[in-house]
Amino acid sequence: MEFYTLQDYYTFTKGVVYLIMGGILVGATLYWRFLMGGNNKDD
Amino acid sequence: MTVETVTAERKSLFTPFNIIAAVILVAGLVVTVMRFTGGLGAVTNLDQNNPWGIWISFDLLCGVALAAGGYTTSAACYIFGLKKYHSGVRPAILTAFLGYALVVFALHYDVGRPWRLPYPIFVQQGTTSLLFEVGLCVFLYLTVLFVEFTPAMFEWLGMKKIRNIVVKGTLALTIMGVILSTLHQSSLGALFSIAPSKLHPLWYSPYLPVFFFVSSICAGMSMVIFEGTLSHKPMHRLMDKEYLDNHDGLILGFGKATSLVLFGYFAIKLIGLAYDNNWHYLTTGWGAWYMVEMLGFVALPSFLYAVGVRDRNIPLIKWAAGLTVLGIVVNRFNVSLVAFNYFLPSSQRYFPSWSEITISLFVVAIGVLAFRFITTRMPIFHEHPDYKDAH
Repeated sequence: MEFYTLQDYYTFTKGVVYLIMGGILVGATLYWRFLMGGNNKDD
Repeated sequence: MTVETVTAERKSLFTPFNIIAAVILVAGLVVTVMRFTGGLGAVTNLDQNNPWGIWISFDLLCGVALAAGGYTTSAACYIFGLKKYHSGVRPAILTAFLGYALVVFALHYDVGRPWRLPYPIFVQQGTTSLLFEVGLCVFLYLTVLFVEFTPAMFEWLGMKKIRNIVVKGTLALTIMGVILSTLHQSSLGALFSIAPSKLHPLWYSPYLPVFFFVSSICAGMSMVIFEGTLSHKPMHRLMDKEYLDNHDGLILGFGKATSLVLFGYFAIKLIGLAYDNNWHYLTTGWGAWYMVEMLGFVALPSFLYAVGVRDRNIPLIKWAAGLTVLGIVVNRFNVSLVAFNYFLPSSQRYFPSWSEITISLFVVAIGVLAFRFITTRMPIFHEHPDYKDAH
């Protein structure tokens, strides 16, 4: 990926960060469900 | 209990532990004499390119991160009201206090003129320097940790009045401890953010203070589990019913919390990578090492913790804690040594001398011996009979 202006660069990196953050939101929810499942009762 | 303990220790003076500790102490004292008579050049491989070595990477950065168990445990118990973790507070506070005390002790070896260590606090404050903030936080937090530790000492010495006065300030001390730790852990990361050209881009980030702080929470909680595991067998006779009954619950609770925080840490590291657009470095040799750190010492322990908590598998959680502690050591070494000055030819890179390694072992040995001395005498793993249910 080549960038010609600073705005190009930030549009790209910010865009990737937003996509990752969306993935993290979904991933964190799934991870939370995984962690809270299982045999644990009161801890 | 104390008399029995002392008698047992007298009987077994030449145990493998004592012999190894004695050898390390003698070697450490020899190097100490060499350091303070011959200077830094006589015992270290430091030079103009590498002004800090393992005394900073291991003794200071790892020591501070692994001492984070003090503020995480006391915050869980006194701020978040999780009283079921109360039995873990004193061992954690003691570990943190000894950790910080040994950081200051080790600093005397590393700085050129150790007798000037109090200067930034009492004589001339360089308020624009990050190191001033680091120094001030270490000074204040060590004081707070000492005061937090004193109730155990006063109970041991039978000084009831002063013990009761200090205990009344527990909440205030905990809040101060959390604030100072937040500032201090992050300022150690900030220290490297002022050297963007020296640190490899995969480890450099404007978010280094956040990375250091969040990873210190994982380190602290893992260290509480790890240290509890190490001391469980040799210190078992000193542990009372409350401690032993709550031990598994503490491991499960801390395991769950650490799993989540490690997940969060992995996530923010990923965001840091994306913000700086450093993806292309991942295909290099440095990238491979970075992936080892992130996948092997962050993602893997997070997953192991989660599986351990789901299956109530205590040994697996203990292994995950050991892996996390090792991971924090790897991270701090990467930031301060391995990826620092990464552009220098290998002939100019730093590798610690035997003397430096000896002093680091010497510092650890003093910590272990002090921990053993205190826990065999003071009410750390058990409640003092006069103060049962006093909290």
